[in-house]
Amino acid sequence: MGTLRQICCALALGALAPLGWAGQVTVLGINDMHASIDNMPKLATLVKQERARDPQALLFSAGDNRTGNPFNDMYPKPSWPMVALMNRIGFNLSTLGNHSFDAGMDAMRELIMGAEFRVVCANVSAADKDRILLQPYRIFERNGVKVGVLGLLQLGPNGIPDILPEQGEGFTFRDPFAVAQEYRWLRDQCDVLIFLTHLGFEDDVELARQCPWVDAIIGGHTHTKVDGAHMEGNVMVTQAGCRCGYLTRLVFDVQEGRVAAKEAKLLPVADCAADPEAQEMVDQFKDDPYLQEQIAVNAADITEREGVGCLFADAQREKAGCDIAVANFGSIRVDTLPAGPLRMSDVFRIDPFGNDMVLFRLTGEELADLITNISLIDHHGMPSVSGMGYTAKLDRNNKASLVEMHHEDGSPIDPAKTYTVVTSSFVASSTQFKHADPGRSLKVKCCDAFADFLKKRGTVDYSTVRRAKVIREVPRDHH
Amino acid sequence: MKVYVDNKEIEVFDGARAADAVRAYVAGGGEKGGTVLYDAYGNEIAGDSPMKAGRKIFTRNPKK
Repeated sequence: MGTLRQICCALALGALAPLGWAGQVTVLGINDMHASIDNMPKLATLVKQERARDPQALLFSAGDNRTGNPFNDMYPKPSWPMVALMNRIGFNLSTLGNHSFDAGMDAMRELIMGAEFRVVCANVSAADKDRILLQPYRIFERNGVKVGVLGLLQLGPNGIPDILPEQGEGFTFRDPFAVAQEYRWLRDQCDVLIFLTHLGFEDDVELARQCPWVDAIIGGHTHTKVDGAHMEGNVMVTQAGCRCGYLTRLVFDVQEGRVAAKEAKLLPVADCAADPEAQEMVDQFKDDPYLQEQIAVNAADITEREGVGCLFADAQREKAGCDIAVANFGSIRVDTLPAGPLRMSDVFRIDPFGNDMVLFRLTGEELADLITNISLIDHHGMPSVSGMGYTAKLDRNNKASLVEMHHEDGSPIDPAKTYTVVTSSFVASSTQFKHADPGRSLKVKCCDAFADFLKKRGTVDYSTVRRAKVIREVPRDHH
Repeated sequence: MKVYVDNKEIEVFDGARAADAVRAYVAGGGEKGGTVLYDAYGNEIAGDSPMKAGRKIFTRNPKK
């Protein structure tokens, strides 16, 4: 229905004039690139093609340019590869995403200062002393048309974006919907007014309802693939999926200072050939020895899978600062770990899943229910734990029953007492178990906790660590 | 938080993503309507699309 309205809007107001006509402006929008540096050469080609059609075309990012690829995120200057590639491609503007805060304020400052494009965000500010160069809006002039762009970032129910609380220290966050209204005066300062947002598609639709005086919203955060534009009243709401899969082309015809016609089209990036110069940059960035960096030493052969599992669970418990960690059998992809150097590549080999850590407050009884039911989602076996031990019986259908659970000091776990328990987002969503607390994501990946733990320890020895006693009704190798 | 998958109310942890919600839906006995995720407006969404309380998503087969 949105597409039909868009077509009717264009037809009713007259067909758009050929591109490049004075009074017409092209804006290219992309969002949530998430450090997809491998796709940036194709994006470079597509942008070149679009700028061959209209040399004055503007290119905007709706945030979350980083986070999703260690070659980018763990670069010596974190996320520099994406900024360098965005400079190369010729981005004109970006807004903040929630992942802009991932590497801390100093890293954000350096990236903004190194960018050849400005960063706009009207509802986020930092103290002058912190020298974070954020502007609320920017006005461009193209083909005689003034294009105003206001940046906005989402906030969660706790009043900060989807970030760790400590990542937001030093910043002030304000309600994006209220701030949008404060900039209504911008409507009279430009011919085309665009909100460049990282709110999420559904919130963009609500923003369009509250701000019918804006011409278009180029949005992000929810990784939504909008085919062209969703029309909310007369406001085009767009979003281009994620990870450089698509680019949205918006075209505005302006007559006598007002938008007379507008349209949007979603362009696939994958169909393009890689730009050779951008590809050369990517190849250089990926030549970084990051993945081969030694981060720890495994002091002795771990010959049982549970040893690796306990190491993995200990890492999560330490990162979460909680009582207990539970890692399902399938959360690690190795059965053994030989003695020797441990590298970043080993971290991703052991845990390639990218699951987040989720924290629950569980009673001892609920914890028992979790442990016995995990085996049903993971037909390979029983979980590894940290901060506790247990004995369980496993029947031929992999249904477990707990015999006992105990703390590290041997004392029994109290079924009525409440404990903080961390597990993976996979376990949290896939396991049916009784729990009054719905849990919350800690916004930290299990693999990142694992890497941090190994780096801190330097040397690990889990060769004799065993915390689970599993009595199988049918021996494992019985047929 | 409460979210909706194929119009069924699902309780899922704060910070869950669309794929987590679908996993919880399936774990609770739900049957997926297809392999692709859509929002309430019929837009395709990625599995790592962040969920917020009250959001509705749908599992369908790809549009032709």
